[in-house]
Amino acid sequence: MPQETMKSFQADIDAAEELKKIISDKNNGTEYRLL
Amino acid sequence: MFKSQFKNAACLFVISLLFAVIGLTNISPTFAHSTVSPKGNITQPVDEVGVPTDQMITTLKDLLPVLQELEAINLSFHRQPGWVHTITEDYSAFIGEHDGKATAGMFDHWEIIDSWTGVLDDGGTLGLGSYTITSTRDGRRLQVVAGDGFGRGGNLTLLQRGLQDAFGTPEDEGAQAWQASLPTVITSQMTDYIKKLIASEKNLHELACWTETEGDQAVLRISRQTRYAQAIKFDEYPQPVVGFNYEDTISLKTGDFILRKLSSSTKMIQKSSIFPEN
Repeated sequence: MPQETMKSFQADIDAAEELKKIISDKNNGTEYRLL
Repeated sequence: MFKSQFKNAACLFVISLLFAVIGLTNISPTFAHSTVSPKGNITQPVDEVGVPTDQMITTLKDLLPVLQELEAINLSFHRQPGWVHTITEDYSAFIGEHDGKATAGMFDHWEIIDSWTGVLDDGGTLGLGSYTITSTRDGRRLQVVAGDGFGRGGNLTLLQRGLQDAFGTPEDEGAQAWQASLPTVITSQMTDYIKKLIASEKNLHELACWTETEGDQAVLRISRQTRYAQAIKFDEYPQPVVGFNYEDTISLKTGDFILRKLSSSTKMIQKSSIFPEN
């Protein structure tokens, strides 16, 4: 995978993780495992 | 690499042999042409393909061994360590009504699907993660799904829209069932294609399959028409449907679909390549 794509890949993973944490906190710690 | 080339050459030989053995009838397909011609980046529209060669397959029984050879070629191609990169240009006449809904802006008639799938070994073991960006033709992101091999990430688009429960919550599905539902090895589109052909055999009305050269690559073209005993009403179509015309083009070198077309309603142009892990 080219470097630029890898950077974008990692950034989107981090963004998803951040949102999952926010949603989880709002929902009493419910864990979200999305494909 | 040499082993892979040898395998491909051997498979091509078998396919050539099958075509040589199978009938020599010269039948031109008489499928209805599309009334809608979506603009696509293809060099040779299927509707304009000339008279096929005199070696043509017209029965599913004769076609299946060819497709099974192509399935093996395709699995060999995709089951290499590294990243499988696939770009699909997809046209769909029917994308549903999303205005005013949480799914607004997630779909477009023309979509570019840029997908990366990590493969760990020659067995096609998944584990590096996958990254799929669906965009409009002018580059506007419609959907993003990014996940690594450690379970980090997810469907960013659903999360951003608060649709994280759209496909069920963890409570709906036990952890073990969820884990078991995850694919562990990369598969071939050809596997599903073969299954669907077999499943729809009773509705198969006409079939024509031949090889030809497109640009600098040898391809297999499959035209088929299915018909139902009675007209069926589908939500996507204003009138009951008596059958469908399908046109598919498959690379003989990789076993990948490079063009798939369903009547005038859907069309998919696809290209895959392998990026070895450094």
